[in-house]
Amino acid sequence: MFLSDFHIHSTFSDGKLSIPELVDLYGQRGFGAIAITDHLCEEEGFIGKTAAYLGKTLTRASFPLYQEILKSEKKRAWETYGMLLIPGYEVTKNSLLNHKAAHVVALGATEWVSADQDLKQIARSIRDAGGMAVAAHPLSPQVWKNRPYYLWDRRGELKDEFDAWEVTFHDHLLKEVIESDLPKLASSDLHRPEQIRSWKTSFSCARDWQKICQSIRHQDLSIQFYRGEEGLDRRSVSGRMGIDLFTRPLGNLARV
Amino acid sequence: MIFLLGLWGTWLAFDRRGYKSACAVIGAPISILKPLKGLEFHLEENLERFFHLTYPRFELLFCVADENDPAKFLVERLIQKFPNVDAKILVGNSDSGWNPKIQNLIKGYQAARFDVVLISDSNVCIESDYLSRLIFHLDEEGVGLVTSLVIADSSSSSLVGKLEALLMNTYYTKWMLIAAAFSKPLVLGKSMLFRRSVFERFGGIEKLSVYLAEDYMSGFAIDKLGMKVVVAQEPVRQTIGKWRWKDYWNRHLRWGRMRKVTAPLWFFAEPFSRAIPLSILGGLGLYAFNALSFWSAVFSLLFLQFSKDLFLMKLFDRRLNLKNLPLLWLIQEIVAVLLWIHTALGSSVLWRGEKYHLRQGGLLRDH
Repeated sequence: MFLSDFHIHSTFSDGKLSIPELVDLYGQRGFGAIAITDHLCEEEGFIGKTAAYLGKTLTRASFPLYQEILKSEKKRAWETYGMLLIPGYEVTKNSLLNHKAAHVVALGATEWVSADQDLKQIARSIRDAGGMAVAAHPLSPQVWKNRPYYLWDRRGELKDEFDAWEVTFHDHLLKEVIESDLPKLASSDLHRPEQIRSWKTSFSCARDWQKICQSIRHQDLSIQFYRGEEGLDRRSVSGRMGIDLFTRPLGNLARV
Repeated sequence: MIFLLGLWGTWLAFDRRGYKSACAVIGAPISILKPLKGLEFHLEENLERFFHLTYPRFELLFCVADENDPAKFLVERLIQKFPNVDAKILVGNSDSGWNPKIQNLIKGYQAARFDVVLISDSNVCIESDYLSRLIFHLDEEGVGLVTSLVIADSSSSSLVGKLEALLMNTYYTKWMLIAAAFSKPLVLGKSMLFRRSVFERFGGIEKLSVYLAEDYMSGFAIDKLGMKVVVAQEPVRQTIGKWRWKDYWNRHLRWGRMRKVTAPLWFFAEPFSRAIPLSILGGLGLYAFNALSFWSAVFSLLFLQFSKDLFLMKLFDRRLNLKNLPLLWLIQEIVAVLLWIHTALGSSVLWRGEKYHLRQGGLLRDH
């Protein structure tokens, strides 16, 4: 079994750590698979243009270098830590109106998908590019923070377009998504190293992209809260990784 | 605040005066790539200096795109003159991307025998211990790229040559040092020292061929790898020939449009870093506070800024000829404002006779 985190930001957008630093952060903690998913904002909107001017998003100029660094770090992650590094990005449709904002993680995708499209088109383009479309933090429990509701509000029409829905928003578990019948995934949306303490997904398959995809599709996974290196809770069963087994595997939780 | 920043830049330059970094006499072997095109002013003298380097082990790889380039024949003579120096000429052009300098350099990069590579432009004039002083910086922890300040030789006989030297030695030097002090150093393609094993982590120089500002993007990539760009303490000298207005205008239009697409926030603030707009704004401010009359304030501020730049110019060139210098400085400042306006109004650049249309981020075409 291995821990994974499939929603992580680097200095290519608004993360605090570089890609090599992220590989070391997770690799040294024994993670089995991670995905770097920097923001890829709209090019035509004001917010997207501002993000580009401020260097807080991938752009068409930085995208080729981003892919190259992911390639070389993927090799290093495997050779140094036995950890699979999956390329990706987070298609980011921002809006001052909460009900218009939506973020979609393109897991395993290496081709540019424009954020200036409808969500269905984005999800389909990600899948056409060989990736998995993951609805990122479709809700947020925080009252005053920008809440990308657009995905959750349209879940009925979008459910067949997405491969998984995040059940987490940083260290918050999203009860509505957990209780739904949608395929689920837990990731940290890490921007700062301390945010590694959050919900993660565990897999029992091989550390292989195709096997991971199958596990996500069949929901053969479990969700756990990773407490970092603060020591072990008495419920913990794994000394090395300091995992606090909060619940039983997800399949059982859904029946509770 | 911008005036104070400029003063700080002047101080940073002063603080570096006469600095001699420790010589790493025994350093890693270096492959020096020299991209050449045509017979530039002082080319033979500049290139011959590389054959006199005192570094223990290096190779010179001269890259020309065209078999009939006259620079090729000049280099062949130099290689015959100095048979004990490991040097060769590589001819041909890669069809990777669109940046002509990178297309020319790729063959040299691939042929380089050593991990440490120096890209050095053809109009750079160096001292014999240049490599020793440069490699010292690359050995510092976390350093991915070493670049150098470029000081222009101000003894050119043409008016435009003198303006170019003035601009390089004041405005560009100041802001390069300020950027470095904020840990955001600007990379000048005239002198780039790096390890090929580090560059390969973002795909090597071939990946830079889609950008006009391959130097800026090198620095960008190094930063994204979590490594540092360092500006070497000792500057390199750039020889300036008899420049024409067209050469001056096109070059700075190209640089300005690169800044516009790679650092748009800074570009739109740039006019306020130039002496005339800054003096007018400052004059209005002082007049509003009844400190001075408007024109007294403007001329006082202009004088202060000229003095600051004069100090910088003297710092780098003790034989500086002061005759007509105030007038040259004023012309350069007026031209800078007109150039900025022209830069803001378009996105195409002329480089080595070819026209390029710049995309966002400095891409030569959509990737």
